[in-house]
Amino acid sequence: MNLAYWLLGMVCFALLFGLTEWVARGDAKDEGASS
Amino acid sequence: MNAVLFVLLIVGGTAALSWPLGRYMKWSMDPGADAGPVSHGFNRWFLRFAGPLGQKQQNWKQYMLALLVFNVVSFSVSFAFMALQQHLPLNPDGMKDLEGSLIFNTSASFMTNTNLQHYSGEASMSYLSQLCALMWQQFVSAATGIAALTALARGLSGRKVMGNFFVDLQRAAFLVLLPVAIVVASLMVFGSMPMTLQGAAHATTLEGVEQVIARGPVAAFLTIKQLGTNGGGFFGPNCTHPFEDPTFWTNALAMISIILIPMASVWMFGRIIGRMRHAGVVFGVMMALLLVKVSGAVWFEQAPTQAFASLPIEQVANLEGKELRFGSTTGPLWAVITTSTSNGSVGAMHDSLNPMTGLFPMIGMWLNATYGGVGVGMINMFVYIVLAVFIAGMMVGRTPEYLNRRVEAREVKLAAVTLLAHAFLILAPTALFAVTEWGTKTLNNVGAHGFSEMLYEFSSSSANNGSGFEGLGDANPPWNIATGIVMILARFIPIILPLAIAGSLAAKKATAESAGTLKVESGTFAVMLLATILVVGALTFFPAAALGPIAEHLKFML
Repeated sequence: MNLAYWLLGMVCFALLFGLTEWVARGDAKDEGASS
Repeated sequence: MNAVLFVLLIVGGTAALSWPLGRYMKWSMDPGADAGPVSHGFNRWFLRFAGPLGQKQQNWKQYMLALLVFNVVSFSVSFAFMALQQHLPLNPDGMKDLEGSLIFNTSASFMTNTNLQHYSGEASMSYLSQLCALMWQQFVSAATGIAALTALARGLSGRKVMGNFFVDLQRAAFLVLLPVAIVVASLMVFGSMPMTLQGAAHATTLEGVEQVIARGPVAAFLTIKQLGTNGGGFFGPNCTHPFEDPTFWTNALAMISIILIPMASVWMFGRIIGRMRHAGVVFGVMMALLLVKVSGAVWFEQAPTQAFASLPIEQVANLEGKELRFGSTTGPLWAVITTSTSNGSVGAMHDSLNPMTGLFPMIGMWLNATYGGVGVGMINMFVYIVLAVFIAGMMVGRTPEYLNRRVEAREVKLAAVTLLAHAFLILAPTALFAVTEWGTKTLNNVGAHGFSEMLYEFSSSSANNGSGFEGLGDANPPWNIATGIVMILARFIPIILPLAIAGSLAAKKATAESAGTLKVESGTFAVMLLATILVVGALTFFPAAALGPIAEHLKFML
């Protein structure tokens, strides 16, 4: 049972890692467009 | 008159202390080549301790990923300590294991610098859990905030690499938080606060009944909870417990400790970006908002509570839920300071505040930038600054600029999403719990007051504040899970997106200031920033405020 709650925390972190990656891709796209 | 003097002593005195501390924080966090041999010595030690992790200078994305990975480990370590506490040492009172959703909530709470407490420390945590799962987090979560602000400031000063997270974390923990905490904890021990690893004291009362008096390493725990804007109490009642707040002087020192580092963070930010006058303007805007909130809360609390309205007694200021040794001013003052700074420790029961007094702590958590949390408060204010320069630029028909970098669509979108995420994480779950049994079955009050309790709980979670309005049966899986998820998302989204903005600005060419540039050191900028904060805050949260504290206030008037 405790493991399920630990995994819930990891799901939240997965979302945050995904958000970081997604925003960083926007950076790369902007640099590509301006170059 | 005494109330005014007391407020001026606490707020003004702390503002004066924040100036030298801000200078010291700059020396600690972002030492230049001229920082001296002591700084370089520390730097070598931190680099060696970080090993291969500390060798590389990181851009915003690498810095952010390092920060997240560190927090995954922090969360997991705290989780493990609490889940296994019944098998571990330093458990003289034989504390049992905790329920799973409560472990999730508490791990999320302390890892995110929130310290929302759905447990009672003295009744459920072993000393090892208090020290290694909770107090340790109070250092590293606060250090994470200071490190994030340092990285943001470096980006805004034009540096494409923002430093190394693992080195910055050590600087914040060992050079900023630890030395200040040792000084303040020593003063707290002199002020009669307990500091022991012996178990609970057993006493026999005059009636012959045995009384168990919980105690422990309270001074160490309390000091970092205040300095790091953590707020989680060693005892369930937090600073309303006499061992957490033994005298008038420890009360005053605790309040100073709450706002000291958030104030100093603004000066550190100014020194790193090399614009102290701009930092002064931002500091002034924060101070103006803080004083308005303090004045409003203290003024509304001078009216007697409605609970006593029909009693045949002399009606004085609202003393319900207050520490009567300290009078009726410290309660609302503490309530505003603790919610302006994302601290969350309580010196009076917020559920007992008059309805309109209770609104001011909520405003503090909604804006979350009137000094705000350690490091992250200034990051939140940076988001408002981006919006303010954008709106000002649009008003005069020029491309907005901030610190000689053009603020364009991408930065404004990221800033808007940051503010919307905070609002969404408060309002959406409040609405969900208001219409389901998850919320309605856990209320001790119905109507507007009950709505305020739920609104406060999610405001506190999203602002990473941690204080409770109380009166809510929140130690159950629905509340534990919902507030746990809100705390984690609301902690890191407002760090990820502002760091991305700083990275984006750092990648742009510097532009020269012209006659059309809004000077960020000017009074016009201060007014613009203030107006942006108030308009955005009012548009976002006024409907919820109208359903809660304002409706309750009007109910008593009609």
